[in-house]
Formats: sequence, structure tokens, C-alpha cells
Amino acid sequence: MTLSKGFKSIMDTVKAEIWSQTTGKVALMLLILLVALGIAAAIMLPPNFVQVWNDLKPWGLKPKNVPPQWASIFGYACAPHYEVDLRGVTYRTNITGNEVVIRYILTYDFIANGYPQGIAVSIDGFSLSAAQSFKVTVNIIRPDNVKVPEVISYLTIPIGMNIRVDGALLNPDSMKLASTLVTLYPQLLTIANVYDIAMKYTIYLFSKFSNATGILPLTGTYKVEVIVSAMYSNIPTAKDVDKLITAIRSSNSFGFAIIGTCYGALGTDYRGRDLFEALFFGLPIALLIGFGTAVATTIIGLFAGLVSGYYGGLIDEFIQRFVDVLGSIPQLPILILLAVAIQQTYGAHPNKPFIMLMAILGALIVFGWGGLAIVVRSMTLSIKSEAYVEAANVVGASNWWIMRKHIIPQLLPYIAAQMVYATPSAILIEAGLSILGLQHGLPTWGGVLADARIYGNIAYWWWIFPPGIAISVTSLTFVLLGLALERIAEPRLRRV
Amino acid sequence: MTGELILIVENLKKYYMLRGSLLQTLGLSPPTYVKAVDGISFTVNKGEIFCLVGESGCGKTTTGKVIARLLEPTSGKILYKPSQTARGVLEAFNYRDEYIDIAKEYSKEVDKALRREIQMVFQDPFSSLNPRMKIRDILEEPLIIHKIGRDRMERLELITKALEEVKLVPAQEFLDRYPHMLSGGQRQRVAIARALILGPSLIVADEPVSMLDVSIRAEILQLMLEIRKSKNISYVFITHDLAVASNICDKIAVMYLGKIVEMGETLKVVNNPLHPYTKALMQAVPEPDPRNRLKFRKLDIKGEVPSAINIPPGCRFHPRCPYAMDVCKREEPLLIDVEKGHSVSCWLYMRK
Ligand SMILES: Nc1ncnc2c1ncn2[C@@H]1O[C@H](COP(=O)(O)OP(=O)(O)OP(=O)(O)O)[C@@H](O)[C@H]1O
Ligand SMILES: [Mg+2]
Repeated sequence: MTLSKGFKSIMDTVKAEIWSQTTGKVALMLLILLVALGIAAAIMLPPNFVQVWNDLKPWGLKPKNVPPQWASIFGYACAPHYEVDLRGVTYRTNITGNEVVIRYILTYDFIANGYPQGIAVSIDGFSLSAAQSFKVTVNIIRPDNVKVPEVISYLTIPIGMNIRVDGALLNPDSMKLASTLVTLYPQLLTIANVYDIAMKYTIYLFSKFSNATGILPLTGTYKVEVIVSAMYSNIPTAKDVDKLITAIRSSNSFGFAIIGTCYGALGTDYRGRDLFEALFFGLPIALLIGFGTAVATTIIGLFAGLVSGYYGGLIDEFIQRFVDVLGSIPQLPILILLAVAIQQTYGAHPNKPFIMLMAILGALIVFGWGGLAIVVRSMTLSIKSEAYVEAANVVGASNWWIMRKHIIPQLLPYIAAQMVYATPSAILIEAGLSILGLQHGLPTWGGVLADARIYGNIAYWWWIFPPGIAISVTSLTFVLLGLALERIAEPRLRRV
Repeated sequence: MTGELILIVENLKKYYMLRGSLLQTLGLSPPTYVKAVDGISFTVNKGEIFCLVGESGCGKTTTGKVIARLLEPTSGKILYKPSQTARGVLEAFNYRDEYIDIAKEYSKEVDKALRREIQMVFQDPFSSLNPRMKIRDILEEPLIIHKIGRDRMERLELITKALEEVKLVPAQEFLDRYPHMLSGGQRQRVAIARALILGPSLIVADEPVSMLDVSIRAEILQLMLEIRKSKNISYVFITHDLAVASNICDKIAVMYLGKIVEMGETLKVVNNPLHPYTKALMQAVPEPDPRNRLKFRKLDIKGEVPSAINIPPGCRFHPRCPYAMDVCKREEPLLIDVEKGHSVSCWLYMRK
């Protein structure tokens, strides 16, 4: 009852005081947007996302270090990314001799907006029993009707009874592909040597050649044949065909890709991971660290400062000395020690990232409230002796009333400052720790920036700016909110 | 004015303990006290304006704050006669006597009932109103605390009425202003309205006009007199200005270093000051003749007021007194009646 009343009055204040200002409006909209996105991300977060993010395998087919799709607007040569999950497309089967052959026919429209980065087949968690060998071949039939055989070819034999393929990323044997191309197009040798061709095989695979003009993109429809076959000791039956299909279907990954040079909404990093996912799923973590630290330090600092300043005496002495002690402990070394200790203790624990994050959050909170407590204490001391507080006392106001009506409103600017300062600084400290190599393993904005520092370079703007902007916008939200709150607390700043 | 007594102060003392040396903190040597109020007694009639006058530091504000229950006295009694409304609450808590000692501590409900009875107007209207609150919020505060008025509308009505009472009209114009948008006089009117809104019987007014421009002092004093008349409110009026005191007070008590040295009906004290200190004070009053306004006659007492930490033995005025005798240095004189309604504490008037 009183709670809902209180909430309503807060909402009324927010509406009347914050929403009426432009800064307040922008701040609220940004805040709502951030929180909404954060909640959406938290809901959509796949349960094993952290594991997937830190796992090399699933990212194999994605282009590496490429800008986002929309970079083409700015004239970036964006070869589209073409990726097919072979577990879900139509195929044809037949049995030739002792072999079961499954043939996938794919079509790829090459529009010549830049050459692809590569061609790959990825297989993971594939297991087949009783076969003597297992083979994957990719042939490409170009628009000029020339078939380039065995662009990729891969053969494996069982170890023990079973054939297992895990985390395999099959790429063309570039020297072999180069010599195939030279055989098919002898005139190529007058334009480039074999090593060149091998180095940049995608260019030559998707081009036409003439002595006069050199190489030109060969646009049109490319037919891609992916042939998966298994050899048996005797003539296979329909059951063996089914077995192979089942093996493909039940693998973790069985895909083919012509790897583009642009990807997704925010490009990819050095491992081909989608940076949009990192930023999107990093948002709730950033908000948790930022809000969590800000809210907790504000509440603790406010409460400690109020009690200390208002009641004085022994409790005041105790709180002040505690703050002094905390203030003389350097925060960063403690955080580093803590992170190392957790790394040592929980290194292999599946919940390690979470435990580490909570420990960092806890440390940020413990070290974060002292400053506010000191400010609140001295403000409280001076406000407490104001005549209007005495006047309220004469009228019969309780201590809590005086704190609520006369002291806390004047502290709002400091509370806002604490929020404004603590939120981004917590996010930045977390990022700083990541950069120092103390990665908790969660895909945070700081983590992305840290990766960019180690593995990226300045040309990879899509890797550096978005997390930077995300951190800035979050900070800006709080700065604006702080400005709006200050107007409430200081009516003399108000436009009359 | 004779009638029922609303306030009886008996031997009231208020000592402030100073934060002393380490030995004192450890209790190994006696603590140092500031004897701000050192045993005063007086009574206030219903509807009377009782004035405390004296130089700075003599303990007037301290006395006022103790009566308004902002400070706990060190010792002494403050007997207050509750009004009919307060009596209802007090009887529910088994306080049936005609007077209740407000120097004591009471439960929350009793405390609230007493707070409605005794209000205070402070010296500085620039600091006694919270600069961050609108006038309507300042006046609504006591109503909310005492749960008066069923809803905002009803409280708004009471607020409007209070503003009209202190002549801030049209009230609508003042409701949504902040204190900094008002003049000093208007602010003091708001402060008076805040004191009035709970319907008190006794108002402690601590130098309510001393911070105001001379031109508006009379208006505020006039307002306070009118309120006294219409509501039969009693005042404990604190001032260092005998001119103000002689204009509005029914009774005057002259304080010196935490003691009352002379007390009596205003006319008697003003026309026939007995105590050397009162005489000196009277001489410090500016000439009524406007041409001589700025000329003060010299006080014929010597030296400065001694500190309230080191009170002289005997009569505390003797180091500065032009008539000091031997006995004054040894023994403290008692406050004795010299004539009906006029008493003084001075060896010159003690019948030997
Ligand atoms: N909180 C306090 N702690 C210690 N000493 C105090 C405190 N408040 C007042 N005093 C001392 O008590 C004495 C009386 O102070 P008080 O404010 O009552 O004087 P006053 O008569 O109101 O003076 P003024 O005319 O200047 O307002 C002074 O000596 C003052 O220094
Ligand atoms: Mg005073």
C-alpha cells in the first residue's frame, strides 16, 4: 500500500521533474533503451554462450577480421558471406561399387563486389562406424562451365572401429588448387605464377583470364558440388546409406561456406566471432557491473554517511576509521590479486567466469563507497545544524523525516555524481582488468577492447569503436541523468 | 493582566559540556561546562508576551530552545498547562495533572501532542526556511507530520488560511514560490505561519525582527500582536532590543550571564530600572527623538561580558558594576520582590 504509493510518487516526480527537461528526457530515453536492450539480451542469451564464445570450433566458418555488412555503403568491397548447413539441405544418394555417395548441389551467385576470403567445410562431432574410409570433396563448376575438381578434398580412415571427425575446418590445398587451375587455364601462367595463384586462390577461382586484360571477375552462378562418401568392405546396403545420413545429421556441425569479406551488423574479430553478439550480450554484463557497483556503492555510502553524520559519536568514529583504512588500500593491486587467486582456485570450474565477475563486482563495491560516505557525512553535519532542521524538529519531525525531506534531497547531486562516476568507472575498471590479461572469460565490452588491443590493429575500426561508443553512451546516459537530478535538488537552477 | 499561568519555569539550568582534554574524556578530571542558563525561574500568563532581554551570549536563545524542547535542560522544571485539545491525548496516556513537565522525555504520541502546543519562530528567516522547498511544502510539513487534513486539498485549504492569517495575500501567489523569491519580511511571515498552522498556545519567538530591515520590523511586530489578540496565544519573546521590548512586552526579564537579574511588568522595569545592569541597558537604548537617533549614550559599565565558562563568584555582574560592594564579591543575591510585579537580584535592594 505505502510501497505502491511511494512508487507512484517517485514516478510522479520523475515525470514532473526529469521528463520536463530536455536533458532529462534524453537521459531517460537512453536509460530505458539500455535497460530494455539489456533485459532483451539477458533473456535471449543462449545458456552456453560463454562456452561457445571461448570455443574455437564453431567460429571456423565465419570470416575473420572483417567489417560489418553495411560497410559497403562507404565503398568497402563486401563479398557476401555464403554459408550452408549441410545437415538441412537436399541431397542425392547413390552407391557406386563399395562406396556410399551423398551429393549436395549448391549454387552461389557471385556478384563481384570483392572476392571472398576463402572456402571451407567445417565438421564437428561427426562419428561413423564400420566404414573403411570417409571422404569429403568439393568441386566447383564455374559459369563458363569449367569444372574445377577437388577444390577441397579430405580423406580419413577409422581409428579402431570408428571414424571420428572433431573440430575440423577443411580448407583447399592451395598449391594443388593452383595447379588444377593452371591445368584448366594454361593462359593463367602468362598472368601470374603458381605461388601467386596459390596465395590468392579465391581471386583466380572467381575470375576470367585473358592475355589482353589480365584477370577480371567472372560473375554469374557457380555450382558447388559437395560430395560426402564412405567406403565399405563389401557392397553397402540402403542401411549403410541411412547410417551415413544419420551420422551427418547428428553431427554438431557439418557446413560449407564461401567466406565473405563482410559480416553481420558489427563485423568479426580475429577468430571470426560475431562482434555484435559480444556487444549485445555484453550489455547486460556491463549494466550489471556498472549499475550494480553504482547502486550498491551509492546506497552503502549514503547510508553510512547519514548515520555517521547524523548520529555522530562512536558509530561515526568507527565508520570514519573504516573508510580511512579502505582508502589507504590500493584498489587495483587487490583486484589483480583477487583475479589471480580465483584464476588459480577455479581455473577449470565451469562457473569460473561468474565467480570472477562477482568477486570483481564485490571488490568494486567495497572500495567504491568511501568517498560518498565522507561527502554525505560532512553535508549531513552541516545541514543538521541548519535553522530549518531545528524548525522541523520543533514541529515534531522524526529523524527519518529530516533525513528524507531535508538532507537527502540536498545530497542528490552527490548521489547523482556518484552514479555518474561509478557506473562508467566500474565498466572501465573491468575493461582495464581485461586488458591486463585478467579475463574472466565473459564477452564484455572491455574484453572486446582488450582483444582488439592484442590481436587487432587500428584499421579494424569496427572492432574498436563500437565497444568504445557503447561505454561512452552508457556513461553519457548517467551524466545526463545527473544533470537532470541536479536541477531537482537545486531549484535555483530551474527555469522559472 | 492576571489570569491562569500557562508556563512555570523553575530553576532551569542548561550547561553545555565542552569537548575537553584527554583527561576529561577519560573522566579523570571534571569536564568543562558552559553555564549558558544557570538557574532561572519565571512564569508566563495565558495570552501574555513575556520578554527575555539581554546582551549577546547571556543565554536567551538557549532558554527559548529548551522551552521549545529543542534542547534538554540540565536540570529544572518547565511546567506547561496543556490546552483542551492536548489534554485529550495526554489523558489517554495517564497524564492527568493540570501541568505537565515538558523538560522530561515522553513517548512519541505525547511528544507530538506537546509539540503542537509550543512552537518557535527563529531569528533568521533566511535560514529557517529550507531553500529547496516551496512555501506550500514548508507549510505542509507540520500538517503531514501531525496527520492533519485528510488529503492534499484539505491541507491546501489550511495552508491558504495560514498564509492569509499572516497577510500573505493572495495566498495562491505565494504557494509555489521558493523562499528566495520572497523578501525578508515575507519570509518571516511564512515562518510565523508555520508556527501557527498547528494551532499552538505558546510561541517562542527568538529575536524575530532583528534580522529584518528596520522599515518592516513594526509590521511584523504588529502582526504578532494581532495574532496574540485573535488567538490568545502566549509568547516568550526574545530580544536584545529594549526599545522593541518596551513596545510589545507585558513582562520583561533581563538576563545577564545565564541568570535573570531583573524582572517585572514592562512599564515598571522601563520607567524604573533598578539593577545597575538594566540601567546601563536602558541608557543604551537609542533616543526616541529621530534627530538624535544615531546617538547612543555611553554605557557606564566597564569591561566585557565574562565568559560563561568562568562565571565570577558572588554576584556575576560585580566586576563591571559601578556600585559593587564587598558582599557582591562573596555572595550571590536572590531575586526578590521590590514592589508588586517587579523584582530584582541585587544587594543594593536587599533588606539587611
Ligand atoms: N551548542 C553549544 N555548545 C556550547 N556552548 C554553547 C552552545 N550554544 C550556545 N553556547 C554558549 O551558551 C551561551 C549562551 O548562548 P545563547 O545562544 O543562548 O545566547 P543568546 O543570549 O541567545 O545570544 P545572542 O543574543 O547572541 O543570540 C553562550 O556563551 C554560547 O557561547
Ligand atoms: Mg540568540
